Amino acid sequence: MPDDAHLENKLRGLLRDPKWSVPPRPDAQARIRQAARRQRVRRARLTGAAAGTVIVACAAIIPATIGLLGRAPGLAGGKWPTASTVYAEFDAKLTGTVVPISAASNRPGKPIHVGGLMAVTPDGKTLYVSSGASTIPISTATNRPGKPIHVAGYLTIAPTGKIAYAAGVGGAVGSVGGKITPVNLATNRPGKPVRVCSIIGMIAFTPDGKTAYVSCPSTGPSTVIPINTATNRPGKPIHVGPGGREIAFTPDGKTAYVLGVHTVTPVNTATNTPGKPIRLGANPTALIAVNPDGKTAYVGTIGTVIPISTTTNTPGKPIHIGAGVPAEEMAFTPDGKTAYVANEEGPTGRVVPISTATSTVGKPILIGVGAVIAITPDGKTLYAAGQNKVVPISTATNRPGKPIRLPYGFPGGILATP
Amino acid sequence: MPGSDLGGSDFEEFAASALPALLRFGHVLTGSPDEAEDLVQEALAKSLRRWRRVSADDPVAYVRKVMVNTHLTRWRRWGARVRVGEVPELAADDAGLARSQEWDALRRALAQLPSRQRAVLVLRYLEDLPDLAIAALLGCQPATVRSQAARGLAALRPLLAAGTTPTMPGDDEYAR
Repeated sequence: MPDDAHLENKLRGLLRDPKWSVPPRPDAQARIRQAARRQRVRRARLTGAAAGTVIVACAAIIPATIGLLGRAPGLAGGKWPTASTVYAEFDAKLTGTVVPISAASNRPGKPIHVGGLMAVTPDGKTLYVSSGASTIPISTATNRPGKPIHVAGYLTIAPTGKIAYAAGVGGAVGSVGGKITPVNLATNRPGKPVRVCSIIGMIAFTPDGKTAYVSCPSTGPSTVIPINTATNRPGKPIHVGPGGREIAFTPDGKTAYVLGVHTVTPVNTATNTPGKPIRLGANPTALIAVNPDGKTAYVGTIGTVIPISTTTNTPGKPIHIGAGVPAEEMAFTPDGKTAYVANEEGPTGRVVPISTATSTVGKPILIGVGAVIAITPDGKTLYAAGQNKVVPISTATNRPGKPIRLPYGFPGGILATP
Repeated sequence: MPGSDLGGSDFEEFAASALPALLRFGHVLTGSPDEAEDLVQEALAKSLRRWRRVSADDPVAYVRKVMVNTHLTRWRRWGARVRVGEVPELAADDAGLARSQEWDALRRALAQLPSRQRAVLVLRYLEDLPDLAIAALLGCQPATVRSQAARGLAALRPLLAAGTTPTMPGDDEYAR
């Protein structure tokens, strides 16, 4: 019988076996920083999300439906003269801080001391800020936080505005055991959790809101699980390329594009069948977005954006946005003529305008340390949040306006209400 | 404002140099390369947000601690979730084959251990931490570390005691 010292040495050897090694992803650092921005509340036992940028960006570009008026101190009549309020989230305080900004006057309102991933209902009436352990609803009319919803993970709101699914996207608390929790947005009550898969990468609703696609990324072949939002029942898994995590739909909802580590898999949403994977030839960041004109999907890499024709599903010539600059966020003007790409990481936070018709790049607008972006529903102003500031950028001239100074640290996210 | 400590090039350097070891540590701890990635990402993100404070001390120790505590909170047991399909190809030569089988057997055996026991073994035999440091990290008494390690080792004994051509004990043998 070997003695303990022998056993211990053998265990030491086996624990050092090269098979335990995991090659780091090329964009690991960018992902870490993204996750850092999305970790807000220390009280939460677990927080964090790798994906989610696209959800926030999508929420920010939903066309305007209803005018929204918020109150701002010092404004005549106490009301914003135009429809949209921009909410920027920063990492000040232990909880994080959300600052409402009138898109009309560019004046900030009183900061709200809650933090986390933001999502807004399609009618613009309620902002939800999810900290991982709970979600706070905030009336956009009063900017007052409401009663917390005790649901683990981050909310993704259906385009119908009736329900949201909560999950800890990117490996946080809600994805433990791979469950998503439906939340009735009329009552803010969570329903029975639905088991989907061991790690939930992202939740995305089809534009008609009838189906939610939940990605289950893995280092090997991955799947996306369609969930019927009427019954909350998961359907048959759809096989996508390795690491399939981020999902973007064409505006007509006919195709879902799932971004993996080397490929994009188009999925026919009528039949839930995957098409031939599109090879990227470069390592992507977590960015995939479809132009509102429906013609082009864009995938971010470090230094470029790769356009993919949605008619042929073939990648075009990469659009260079700056050496070493990771393309991490994208917002489109509602007419789809201009795409703005921003980076949270890399040498300098910048916003790069791209003319989508010609794939030509305009002069970058430098923001400082990192940038998150949102565009107003009228498409007139792009807001880029950087450290201690939000910069309004006219989409007509692509020139930055006077920065709005907000001493609240680093931005976690930004959106404009519909 | 600890949240604003969003690091600089020193964090980049630290993350780049520490990533391989942290990912390996995460893989041994969780049994899954995917979960290792998620865990390391989350732990590094947490460290980044308080980098100024973390970097002044021992950043690797800090990240490791966050990983272990996050993992212990997150998963009670993960045995059922080990994906056998991800085992790499076996080496062609006999010695390599035996080693590969041993590694796989260890992976399965670790999967059967309660997560705290496994964490103790990983910290003690992969990271070579003294029991006192493990106790501080896990927030328990050194005696608890010793007893957990002893139980873990006992559970692995049939596997570790086997020769170069190990028998593959059934999972039941390790189940508690």
